[in-house]
Amino acid sequence: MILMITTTNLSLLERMRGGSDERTWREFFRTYSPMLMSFARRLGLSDADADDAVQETLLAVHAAFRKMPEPFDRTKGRFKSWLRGIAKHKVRDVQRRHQKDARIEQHDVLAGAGADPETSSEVDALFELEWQRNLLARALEQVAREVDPAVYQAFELYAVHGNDPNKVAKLLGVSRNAVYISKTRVLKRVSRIIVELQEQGS
Amino acid sequence: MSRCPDKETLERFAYGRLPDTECANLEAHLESCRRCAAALARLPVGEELLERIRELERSRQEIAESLSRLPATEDKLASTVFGREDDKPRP
Repeated sequence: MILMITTTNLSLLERMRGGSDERTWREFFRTYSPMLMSFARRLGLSDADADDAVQETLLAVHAAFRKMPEPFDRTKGRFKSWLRGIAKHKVRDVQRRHQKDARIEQHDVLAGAGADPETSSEVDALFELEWQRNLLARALEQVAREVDPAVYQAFELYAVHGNDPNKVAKLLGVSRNAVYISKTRVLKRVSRIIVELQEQGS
Repeated sequence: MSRCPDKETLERFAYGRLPDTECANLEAHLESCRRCAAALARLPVGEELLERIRELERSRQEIAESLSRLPATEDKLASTVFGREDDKPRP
């Protein structure tokens, strides 16, 4: 899925404050829903329940943004910990509604999260993993928008999937050198974007 | 074709430590010099990041079915949050 982000992500959070327009809200949804879905699924929720948890999380986020008086302090990771708190709460809500479902109880990692710091830190670590994956996914999406499509395809086929550079060059109609260069060019840009996203705290 | 860069310059380029102005010149050279392009490809650059990208792809693939629900969820929630003329009850 390619996101159409026209401004920095910091301004995405800014635009969400005080009640966003639909376009901003959709941008926010596409930015964070995959990691929230993954977080819920890895905590043992079914597809449908994870979908519910994502919806409830993002509705709560939208409502909270409307009433938010001040922007997040990007230097302190406030947005991440705030989103994590809401996501954990909503996953727990969905799990509680299905307490009689033995299949879910087996994976009820969040059941004692409030009382058991070890379990809670396990869940927090899972959220952190998904957060880092999301930063990487967003960086890759941004690079895919920025560079020539053939450069990005060459990077995927050659550097990520290890295909023969001669075959990749022939397939894409570029030189073998261009295939080699794609690896360095894309990785360098991805690394920079990840740093920028981390600095924005979003 | 410009002169081939020394090994150190090629490594600085590969590890992202070469200034942007020098990168453009070097990239132009690499486009036409098969020996330098191949030497660049042999450097073990970015392997950790590449492995993270592969891990991301695997993890997203594992829950591909769940993720495929999201476009419909996005439309449904957008209707809930912003409303649609079509969704409003008719008088």
